Amino acid sequence: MKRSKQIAGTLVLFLMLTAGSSQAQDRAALLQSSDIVFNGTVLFVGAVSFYGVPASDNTMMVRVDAVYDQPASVMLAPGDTVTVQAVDPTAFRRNMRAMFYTQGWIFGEGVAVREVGHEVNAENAGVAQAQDTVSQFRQQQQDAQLRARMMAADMVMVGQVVSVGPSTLAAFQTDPQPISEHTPNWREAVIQVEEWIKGNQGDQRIVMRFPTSLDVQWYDAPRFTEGQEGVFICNRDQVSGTPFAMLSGEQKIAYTALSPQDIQPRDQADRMKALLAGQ
Amino acid sequence: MRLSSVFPLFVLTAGLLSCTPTPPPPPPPPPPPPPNTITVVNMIPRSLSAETGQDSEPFLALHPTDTLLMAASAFTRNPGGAASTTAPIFVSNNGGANWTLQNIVPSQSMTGDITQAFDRDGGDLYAGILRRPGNLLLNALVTPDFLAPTTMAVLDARNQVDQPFVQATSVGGTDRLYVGNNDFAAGPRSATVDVSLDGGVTWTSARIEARNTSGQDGPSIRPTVADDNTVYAAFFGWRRFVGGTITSDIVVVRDDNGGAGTTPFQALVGTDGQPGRRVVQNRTIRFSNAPTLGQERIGSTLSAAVQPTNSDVVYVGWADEVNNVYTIHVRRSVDRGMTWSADLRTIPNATNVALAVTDNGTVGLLYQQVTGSGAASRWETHLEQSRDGFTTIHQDVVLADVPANTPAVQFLPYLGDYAYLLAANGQFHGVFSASNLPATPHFPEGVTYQRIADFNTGTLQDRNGATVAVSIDPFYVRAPVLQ
Repeated sequence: MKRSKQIAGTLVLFLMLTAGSSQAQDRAALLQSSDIVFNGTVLFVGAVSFYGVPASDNTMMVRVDAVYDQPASVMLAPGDTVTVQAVDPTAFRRNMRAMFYTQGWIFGEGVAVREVGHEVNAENAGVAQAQDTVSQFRQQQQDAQLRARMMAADMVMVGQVVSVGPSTLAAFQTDPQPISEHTPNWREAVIQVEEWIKGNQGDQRIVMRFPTSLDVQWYDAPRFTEGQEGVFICNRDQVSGTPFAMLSGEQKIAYTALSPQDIQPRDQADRMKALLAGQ
Repeated sequence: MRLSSVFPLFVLTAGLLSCTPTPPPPPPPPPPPPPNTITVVNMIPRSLSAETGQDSEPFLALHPTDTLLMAASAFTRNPGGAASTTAPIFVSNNGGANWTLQNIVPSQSMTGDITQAFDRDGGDLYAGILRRPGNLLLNALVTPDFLAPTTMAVLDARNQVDQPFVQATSVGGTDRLYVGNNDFAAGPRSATVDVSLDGGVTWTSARIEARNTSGQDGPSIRPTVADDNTVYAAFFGWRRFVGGTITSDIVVVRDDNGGAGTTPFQALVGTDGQPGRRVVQNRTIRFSNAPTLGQERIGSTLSAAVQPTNSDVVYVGWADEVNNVYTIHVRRSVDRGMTWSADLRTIPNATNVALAVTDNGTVGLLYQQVTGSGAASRWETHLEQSRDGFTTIHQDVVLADVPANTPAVQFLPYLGDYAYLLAANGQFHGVFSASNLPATPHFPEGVTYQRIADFNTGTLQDRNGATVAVSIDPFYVRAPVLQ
């Protein structure tokens, strides 16, 4: 049985243990929209846990009993008290336990979150199992995001950077380009294609245009160096204002890969092919 | 009465008492506001003690009627990560003594640029951002309640716009907005003030550059609004751009009717007969989009501030090259921008000039200066005050004195393309960014940290006691206006 089916099966089994198989998709949707997921006990409805959170009928003080997912910088721990802004406060009562799916809202002396959804449970049963399930879902979520990125891309290929040099934009731009602190400072990498995963299939070499600016707008965009190998998720350049480049005297389509997700290690090629095939 | 007849009543009473719901605790009381002395506060909240982002380029807005309410911003990411659909602002409910981070700005995780301003009456908070994802995508935003969890609403959107700089006022109960920006779609005369006279429902782009340019104007367009609705705007009129060196005028325009007339911002005329008074002409400015001055880039620092109750008085500060040294200049006009003083202040190796003027004419000047050289160089953040237009510097305090070479730059701007200063309620209120290494000598006026910091060991810590790497944090400063 393939690993993805094992994961899905485990997830469904866990779901059935608590709320029934019909809620599997709902839970996936909740996890999809949440960045802080925890089991908690409602202490008070209509209260807040720290100064700076506007109290209302929708806010609740909730004791954290177990944390399954959170951003690295947040560091909630069992025993903490958080404020939850509930979708429907009438669904809660004091001492009720629930799995909370939330998004971060206010970070101050403590943490306040906005409820995305919740599931009522009586015990903190299977904490380790729940943690594993959330972790597995996050991996599935990352896979889905990567697949979506590939689906939306113009092409995906395995290759190696054979050269890096100045941008050839000047050959196409007739108007002066704006000068600002956000100017990308484009350079171009030539990538030798070794295997097509999606799209093109015609060129053996493609031009990848990338920003070299340290500006806040660009600093996390991938850079390219000669000899670099990987799986590249590429889009026709719709950012620089000119979708063409010159390569060995010929006009070519210029591509960009502006997200860190657009460059994957070469050894991920098979996995990415499987994701793209929906497996 | 027999026990047998009392007992059921006792049981019933006990039952009723046990079913009485426990009322929720009252909201935690606010911590006290800062004392009426110079106060510096690290704005990163305790719950984010583990954060290591470069929180540069801060900005500040003060609520018009509740002096304890403030909104601020910086290049701070949503703690939820890169996929978050909102970016944060900083909020204070107690006059800047404590700050929280609230995710209400519609932009992926963080913004490209962001400034904000409250109106003058109802407390609507307006913001101008470069939204992500997007390439110089301007969004003008609003919220009627910045404390609520609702994401700010988009009032206006446009591409190819740089450095939105928001100012706001209210006239007859209606909000007026002025967003300085460098609009490349309007090039080569790109300096623009977007004006809304109806709280952001409709907008007019006032093109304020009347002279020929090198192809565009500089990124910084700085409006400032007086109580009588006089609006000034300062900008860099780029006349030549060769090899990264600019020849620029510093131009000030003025509108005496809040931008409501048919020819906005043409009240000031230059000696050449064109709208816009040239404070100085043909200044050399190195536009360097690389670490140049203490790991910071240079080329666009500019500030303008009108005296709120006397719109005849307006200050401008900017930086240009003096003997190849990036130098801040401050000048003043007392006749509505017609004539300008010589330099009142000249500060070498400095940037992030921020000016503010109180109702009684006391001027505040915030700036960041590199001192020393090489490995010994340091960033000093100064706040000066003068009651007589810098004939006398009545007070010059160093708010932060930190190493210039650490922490290493993550992106540019390192500290910011601007800092900010306001005057209100007998105080100067400002924001600046600096290294957050907790060392008492680094903060000569003292400092309060919300995030976990050990000043004995000089370390930042997370809640588990693990050491957290030093980074750039935003700081709030409050200083009583000298009387």
